[in-house]
Amino acid sequence: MAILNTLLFYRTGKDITGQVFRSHNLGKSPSFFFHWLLLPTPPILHSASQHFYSKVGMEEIAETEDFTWSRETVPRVLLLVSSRLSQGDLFSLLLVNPWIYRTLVSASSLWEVLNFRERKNAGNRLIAALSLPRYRNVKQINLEFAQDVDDTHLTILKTKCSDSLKGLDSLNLNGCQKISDEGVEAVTSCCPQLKTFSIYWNVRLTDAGLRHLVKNCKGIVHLNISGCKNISDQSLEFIADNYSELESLNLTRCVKLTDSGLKQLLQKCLSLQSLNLYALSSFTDKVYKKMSLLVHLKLLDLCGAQNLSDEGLSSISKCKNLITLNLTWCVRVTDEGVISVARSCTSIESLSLFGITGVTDKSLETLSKSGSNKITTLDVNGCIGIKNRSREKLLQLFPNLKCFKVHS
Amino acid sequence: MSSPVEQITVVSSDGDEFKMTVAAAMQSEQLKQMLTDDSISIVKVPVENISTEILVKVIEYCQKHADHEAATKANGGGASDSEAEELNKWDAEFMKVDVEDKLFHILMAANYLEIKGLFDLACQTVADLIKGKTPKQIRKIFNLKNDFTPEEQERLSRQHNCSFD
Repeated sequence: MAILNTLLFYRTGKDITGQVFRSHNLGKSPSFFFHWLLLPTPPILHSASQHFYSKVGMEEIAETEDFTWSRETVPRVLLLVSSRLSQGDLFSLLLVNPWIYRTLVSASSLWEVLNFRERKNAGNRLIAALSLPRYRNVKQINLEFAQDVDDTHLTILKTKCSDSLKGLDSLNLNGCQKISDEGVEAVTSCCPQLKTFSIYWNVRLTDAGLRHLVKNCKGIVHLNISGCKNISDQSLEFIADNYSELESLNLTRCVKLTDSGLKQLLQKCLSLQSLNLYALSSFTDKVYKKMSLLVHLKLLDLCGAQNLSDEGLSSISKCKNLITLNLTWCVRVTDEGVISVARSCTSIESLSLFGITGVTDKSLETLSKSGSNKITTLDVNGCIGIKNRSREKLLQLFPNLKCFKVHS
Repeated sequence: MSSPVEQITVVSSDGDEFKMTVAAAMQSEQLKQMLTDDSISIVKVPVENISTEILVKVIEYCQKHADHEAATKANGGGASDSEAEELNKWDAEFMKVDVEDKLFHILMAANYLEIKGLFDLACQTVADLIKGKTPKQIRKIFNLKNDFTPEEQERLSRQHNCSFD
């Protein structure tokens, strides 16, 4: 009876592997017998099948059980388990038997990420991978600090792999220093749906590259051009004019930027939640005052904003939803500015006042009164104006404080 | 509302009947939905896809976890660390089953009946068996033959090495 039960197991009732199995196609099966297993059986066939079983001998039963096990049971179960496995383990599974191979490669959700972080010869590897059918729905490509990726590879992607890239959601080219505007044009022309683009520490990138980006990818939500020193206000204009839904922007060390460019951005990218202006010391209060336009802002990094005064900070404090605020080296700020933040930004959890000598114990007391439970990170190193900033005192003022250092 | 049901009967694909307390049955989302739907009056629930051997194991799991939940509630809500650890140990022992005969079928039964804890446990057990193993080792664990032709095998390995090695 065991064999009969095993076969009935798959034939009757609800599909046993649930939604995952329902949504994929096992492909052509080699035999009628196999097909029969997968379909609900009409009554007339049922009695015929019972007749069939009673004729089957013991060797055939063992063979059929093997058959079912290796071609049905194992692939189905492995599919259910697959989301818990690393890419390396998935590759090993692909090489186990053709039935597992077929089942797994058809499950497109398993093949959405291509990660070549820090790999050598990454350009060629990426091209080879994208020529495999299972990556035709890739959503994320990571080439962070990958070696041997340059414009020629990206151009080849455009000519040979553009189909596979059209659903791409996220592209990480951080540290790929050989890529220039040309490469950016080539790759972004293949992925109109791109939402996240990151290309930090690339000094070859210019405003032309950003122009290509905004033309090719209309829906960018997260943009990181940290360290792209040759970007100017022109790029900020492109961004402002095209990305009204932008949520996060990292402009760390883009030293050519001025008030004029940033102002455009603040006026038009009103969905911004995270803005990183680390090591940008040319901005002035004129533009800092406009920060209050960003009502959704949660993270603001102003490390090194040496021109920021209490007046500017007071405007910034109108961003009531701020959770993280980095004022490291904002040396013109005093108690007045910090107190306006304390009073207005009641959701603050992380604050750095590193190196601000004009801040005193008064700031800490006010902060403590208005939001002591929420603050988990506070950096007051170098704040020589604060007389008591021992660990004990800080914990007394901010009981949930866990981290005492932001700036290294 | 009909009088409260305290037990239900489930029938395996072999035709054997088993009683389950309602608390144990509630571990299964499928059974839970049936139990909480007043329009259905339950006498016996056939689980056509699950053999007696597997059903016994599944019911054992459900009962243990239902008992644990009841004990936790009685103690005022939080399971102590040692109780949680004890349950984990029990789970680990419970999962020491033969791969071919039981493990995979338990996994599929848990999927069918939507018993999240058991499904996750079984999936993790299988995943742990696979982690870091070569194809050859995996075949051994799951008692599989290498059905690839030498040419297919060569082609696939090359494909893989080209991109990922």
